[in-house]
Formats: sequence, structure tokens, C-alpha cells
Amino acid sequence: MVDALRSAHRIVHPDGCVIDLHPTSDRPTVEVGGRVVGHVASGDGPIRHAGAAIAIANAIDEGLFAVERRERFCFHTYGESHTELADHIRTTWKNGAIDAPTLQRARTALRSEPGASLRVTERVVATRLHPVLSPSP
Amino acid sequence: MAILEDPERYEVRALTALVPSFAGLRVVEVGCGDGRLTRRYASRAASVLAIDPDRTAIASLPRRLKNVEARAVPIEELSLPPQSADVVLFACSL
Repeated sequence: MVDALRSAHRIVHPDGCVIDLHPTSDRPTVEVGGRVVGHVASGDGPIRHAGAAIAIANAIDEGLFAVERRERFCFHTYGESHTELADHIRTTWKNGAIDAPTLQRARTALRSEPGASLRVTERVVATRLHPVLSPSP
Repeated sequence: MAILEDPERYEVRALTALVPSFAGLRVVEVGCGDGRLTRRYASRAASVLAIDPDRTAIASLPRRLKNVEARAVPIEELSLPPQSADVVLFACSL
């Protein structure tokens, strides 16, 4: 990960920037009508995402970059049904899955509140890094 | 309704807060996947080099993004001149 940032440092213009977006290590939530009914199991996702934060911290410690700005936001993925959303997570996320009890709670909540939104929420941090040292020519 | 990702456009708002304008910028996007994020800003950039080691994912990058060049390569193996990018964007790829 730090190697990737070193590569980025080499190719970025001194007046340019590196932008990183990655989910936080918080577990993504499954929500019905804005209420949490469970979490998405994402395998080693929290470890990988924490690793991204560590890589940035290490690159800053190495004197490659300085943080210019950080933004945090929620990334929502909406599905029409619990099965559609579960299929999407399973097929597009690395090791992502919504377990059966969470799906059951989502289905029950949707039955009691027809028309309520069904979504997965990921917390994401976005960082703008400014290159500090002059990249080697 | 199909799957909807970030219909509120919170991701674009955050990206805009960090890079107010992509106009005229040479962007290298690392981990572009199928181009979900790429197509949200690419039309405004001077050029986009979208890379991803996953050949399957990058094959589905929309061909209609005419200023986007796609390469199936990790950034550590990317051959680019030093200081040749204005923005290097890691899209959940660190």
C-alpha cells in the first residue's frame, strides 16, 4: 500500500495532489427506513480499510505527503428488495455478504413498513494529499 | 427499481470539495474497476488514465468515455514519466 503511494508520489506533479477514498473500518449497516437492522459481513474488509489509513499515515511519516483536506460521507446503496440487495453485495463486494438473520429482519421490517427504503450504508473517508518532497526526475 | 448507488451524490460532493475542478487536469485513477466513479468526473478532465489490475473489471469500463485510456496494470508497474499527473486518484484501492 505504501508502495502504491510511493509510485503515486513519483508520477504526481509537485503542484498536483493525490486523492484517496476508502471506507472506514466501521461495519457497513443494513437499514430499513433509516433504521439499522444488521450489518454487512465483508470478510477482511475492515482490516484492508484500516490498512489504507495506515499506509497514508506511513507515507506522511516518510515525508512524502501532507494532508490538505479530509471529507467524510456516507455511501448508500439502495435495493428494491432484500434479495436484490443481498445478491448485489454478494456479487460486487469482495467477500461481502448479508447474513440470513439480517435478511430476515430486513424482510420483516419491510413488511411492517411498506415503501420504506432499503439500503446499505458505508462510511467513507476522502483525503487530499499534497506531495511534500520533490519527486525524483 | 434497480440497484441505486449513491443517488444522493455524496461521493461526488466530497470529491468536488477536494478537487473543485477537473478542467484541464491529467488524472490517473487507480483501481477504477468498471468505471463507476470514472464516469462521474472524466468528461471534465483533460485526460484520464484508468488502471486496475483486474482485467475483467476494466473490460466493462464504458467505451464512450473518449478521453479515458484504460490499462490493466497495478500502479507499481505503471510506466509514466515523473510528475506527469495532476491528480492521482485512489478509488478504494489502497
